Amino acid sequence: MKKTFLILGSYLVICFLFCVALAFALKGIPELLPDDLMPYKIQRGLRVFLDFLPAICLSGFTVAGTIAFAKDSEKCITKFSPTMVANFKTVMICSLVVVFLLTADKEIFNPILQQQKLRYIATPSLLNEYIEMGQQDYDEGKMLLAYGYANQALKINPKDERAKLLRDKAQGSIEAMSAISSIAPPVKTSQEPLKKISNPKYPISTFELIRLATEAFDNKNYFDAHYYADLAVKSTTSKNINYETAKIIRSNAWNHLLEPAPGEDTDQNKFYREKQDAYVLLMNGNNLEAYYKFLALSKDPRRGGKDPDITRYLAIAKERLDEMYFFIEETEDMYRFETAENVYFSVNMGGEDGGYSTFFIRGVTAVKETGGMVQYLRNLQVQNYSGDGKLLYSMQVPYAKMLVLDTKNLNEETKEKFNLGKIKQVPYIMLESVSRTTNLNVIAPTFSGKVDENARRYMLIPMPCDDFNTICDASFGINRMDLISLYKLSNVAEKYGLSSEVYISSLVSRCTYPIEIMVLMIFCAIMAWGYRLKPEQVFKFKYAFVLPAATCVFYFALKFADYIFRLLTFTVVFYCGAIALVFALLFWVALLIALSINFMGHKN
Amino acid sequence: MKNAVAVLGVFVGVLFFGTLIGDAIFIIYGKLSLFVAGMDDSGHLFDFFIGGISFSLPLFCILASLMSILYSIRHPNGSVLTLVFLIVLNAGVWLFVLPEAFSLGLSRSTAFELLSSLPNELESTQTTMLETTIRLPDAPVAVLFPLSLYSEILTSAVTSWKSGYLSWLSFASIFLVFTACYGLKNLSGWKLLSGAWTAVVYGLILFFNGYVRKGGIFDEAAEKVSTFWNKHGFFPIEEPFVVAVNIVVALVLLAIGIFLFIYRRKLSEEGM
Repeated sequence: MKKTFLILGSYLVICFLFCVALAFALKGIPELLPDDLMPYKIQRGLRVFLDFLPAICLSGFTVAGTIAFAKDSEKCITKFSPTMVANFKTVMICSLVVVFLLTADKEIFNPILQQQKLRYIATPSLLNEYIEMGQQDYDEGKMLLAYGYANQALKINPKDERAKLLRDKAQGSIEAMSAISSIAPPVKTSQEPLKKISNPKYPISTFELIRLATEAFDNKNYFDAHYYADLAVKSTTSKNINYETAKIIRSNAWNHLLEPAPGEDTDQNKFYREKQDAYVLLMNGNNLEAYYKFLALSKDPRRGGKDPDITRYLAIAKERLDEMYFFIEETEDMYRFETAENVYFSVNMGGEDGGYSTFFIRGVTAVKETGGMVQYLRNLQVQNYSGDGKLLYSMQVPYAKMLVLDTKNLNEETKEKFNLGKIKQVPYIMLESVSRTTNLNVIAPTFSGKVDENARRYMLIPMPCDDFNTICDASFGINRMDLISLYKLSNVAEKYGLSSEVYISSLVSRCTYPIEIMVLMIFCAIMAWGYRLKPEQVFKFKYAFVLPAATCVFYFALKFADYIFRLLTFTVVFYCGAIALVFALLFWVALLIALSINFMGHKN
Repeated sequence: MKNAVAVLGVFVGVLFFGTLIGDAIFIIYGKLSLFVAGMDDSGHLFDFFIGGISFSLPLFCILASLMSILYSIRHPNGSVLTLVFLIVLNAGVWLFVLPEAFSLGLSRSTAFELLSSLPNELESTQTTMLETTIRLPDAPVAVLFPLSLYSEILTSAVTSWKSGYLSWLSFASIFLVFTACYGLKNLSGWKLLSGAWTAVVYGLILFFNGYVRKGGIFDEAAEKVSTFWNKHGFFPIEEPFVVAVNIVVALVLLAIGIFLFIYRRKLSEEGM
């Protein structure tokens, strides 16, 4: 027994070393970053080893069986002799261990290694892509994007000269274009009290607003007076008795506001006028301009940081911006944490004509802190088709921000339009982004074809968020998905233009894999019994040379058998659908029982 | 006698049922390909049936002789008759069954030509990227590579058959190697060791036969032998290099077999 384990153990080690050596010797290494070369080779060795692992396990088990069964084999005179039953128990225990090992290999290690491999291979092209896109944006004058891309390229390979050059060029241009140098830390504002006011859902009465406005007016704080009065006017109708009062305060405050500041062109007066300008922009709904103006003022060395008006209106402007745009800086570094890549699916847009959209997303990053409520979509491409398959428009945007939207907050008309039915949460995508600190262009999607004005900035996908997340899970390949998601997806795949056959057959293959291994183990046990040593025969060292040959034979036999099983599974799934899982399980269990009986039925 | 009949049974059984099963899998593959491509798959059954036979018959001619050798290793109490049966069966298959099958029309288009004409994913009718989502399970390299080698051998078989009986005869000399593998049955006192290595040697012979035809490190040698044969040979041969190597390997295996046979005989006499 000890000898057997020694032989099998050393064989395993030799195989591993051989596989790693093979991986080092073999050519065909893809283009990699210089630092990745060594890990890639070791990783490749590991992959080759894991690929051979089933064959190694089975051949090792067979050889061990031929030795183990030699003992007491003369006692097996009748069918189902006690020795045979005891042998069967040993076989079952070994099988369970091997099943555990191989299932872990298939379900855990192999997917991780495959993923890693893809990452190694994709890195250089991603690097090139970032630099090229950055260069293109630089040439088109989109400095902020160029800077972002260069930065991301440098995160991949900090030594890349082209990326460094691009970053420096872009940074120089940004500095030249804007008074605010470099990327400044986000502004801290006292948001709390204002948030409540600008939130229309917050129940603050008109009367209360008027009280606040009057109070501010009396304190000669005309900005606040106007702001509150304006809110009061907007929150009520002309029939309300407070309406007129609010209007009066508002126009009085406005008049005071626009009064030229007394005195000459002192710094303070200039500052006040700039504040006025910014406020007017904000009131006219030009939130973006207002935001940058207030931001600049808040950094003004004259007194900005201390001016409470500026702090609060900056916060208001930012809050309004948040509803229209997201900050491109949020997406910085996101590709490193991508939770899905190359996601594609199509969705019926809910219209009666059966029009649909296809989505392609190069990378998805779910922000962990938000529990996946916020996701950033890299390189989102959407094509919208009419019911008869005619392309209506296509859209592409470098980054988009996806939020989870409760359908409760939607009006009936929208629900009807997208045919949302009982869906509770839908993905809501913001397409336009701006810089947090620098007044540059809005980064907007590029469209071709005719698009509604509304659809240019936001997009709602009429599908449950859960389905979206499941499809994202599938993007790394169905073998890496957990079985529950796989099952869920196989149910809804057809709806999103994906093939349910592929998902169901993968589900079936993966569910039956442990039993399949079990069957193979018992098959090997039967073979081992047939080739068992004679009781008086000693296991000579040279007998160990059977192992490489057996591994070789098993390797190819297993690969062929596995492929044929998968083809057959696919066929059964094609004809029977999800019920194929039951058939497959029945088939394998029946085979397992038959082989077990056959094994125990052997006699000397 | 009993053993020899059993070997005959194994050979014929593997050849017959193996071909049927191989054919069935081929048909399934073809049908699935059409289904995945969204094409009508009703009219092709006969094509696939013939294609499948032309795919699996030669394959199981090879596997049947391997299986009978493995059987005679597993049940070693055979006589000379077993060997005679094996030689007759192998010769019969390569000299009569396959040429006969080719002349019945199996050679018209080989299975691999049929396979490569099949689409394995949906042909784009619209310009969306979604169409590629349904496809057959990807075959691993460990399946594709042996198949590609086998395809080379099969193509060569058909061309040899087309260029005359002598040419076919030289191709069919491959059966000499397969039969000579019988000599390895005494490789070790342990049956599993002999069996496993016989299977590996079998695999290597097939690998060599396919690999040389596919082209690789043997190109130069093959070229030289080919020019030599074209100058001095009596009749055209498709791949004189392969034929020569096959015959040499067969002779070597034969020598090993005779040596092992005498060696084992001597060992057991000493043991007595």
